Amino acid sequence: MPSKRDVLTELSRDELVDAADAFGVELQDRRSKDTAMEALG
Amino acid sequence: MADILSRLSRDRLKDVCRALNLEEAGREKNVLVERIVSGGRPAPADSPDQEDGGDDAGTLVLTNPAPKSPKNGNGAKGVKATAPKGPKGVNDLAQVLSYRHADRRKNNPEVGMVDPDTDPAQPKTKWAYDPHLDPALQFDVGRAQVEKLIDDALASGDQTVMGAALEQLKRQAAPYLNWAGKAERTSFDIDTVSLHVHERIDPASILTAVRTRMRGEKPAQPKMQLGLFSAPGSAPR
Repeated sequence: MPSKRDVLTELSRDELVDAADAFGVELQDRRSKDTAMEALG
Repeated sequence: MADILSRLSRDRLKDVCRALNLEEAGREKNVLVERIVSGGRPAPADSPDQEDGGDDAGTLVLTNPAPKSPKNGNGAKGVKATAPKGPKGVNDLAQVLSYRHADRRKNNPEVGMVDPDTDPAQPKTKWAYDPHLDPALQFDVGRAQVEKLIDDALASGDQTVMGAALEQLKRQAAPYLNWAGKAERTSFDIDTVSLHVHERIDPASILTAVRTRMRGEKPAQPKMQLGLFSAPGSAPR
């Protein structure tokens, strides 16, 4: 069973940033995929 | 997680399934999302993504409710204002029923199902007039006029009148082009064409049309010029 981080890893940075924007999650660095994954994870 | 995944397109969800070594079959996003979230559990047997349409055909089947997702922002910053602040629970969402018909309409193959192999050219069809029709009484107007002309000339006993009648008969006997019925034959051959309408069922268009009608609104007019055979976006086919 893939973990939540495994699933998020498959998403692109733009998709993660869009999801963070949609759910009102603040991102410190919108250019970093790891930051978005940490915020959503 | 499901709310995040529900924002992705179906093709993108299939890519994720493929990357995670999960089965990527399925036509509905919620099935793919459920598969990813649950770690690849098999889809329910009555899932609408099955093609057989077997025992559940024509019945209402409760399926997994589709997660309510905000409109795809495509990176637009304005999505944040309209998007929900947090993921909703599954119990708060409306239940979705899948209704499937077992019957299939004739001569409505789906788009892409008809090609020269499945619908080959047929030989010509011969159409002929029925030779067994009952006789119909016809009246020759021209012959009646000629007979009246002759009778009047003979009854007059005047040589001048008879000469004029003969000249008129000669004029009427002159050759002429009879255009009426020139194309009629006893039979003719025509091409046998396959009469069918390509059926394209677009769930998004159907849902949009239903939603528009329920609101009592007029369908939105497309802002671009449609193709010759394209239907307006909200018209279900």
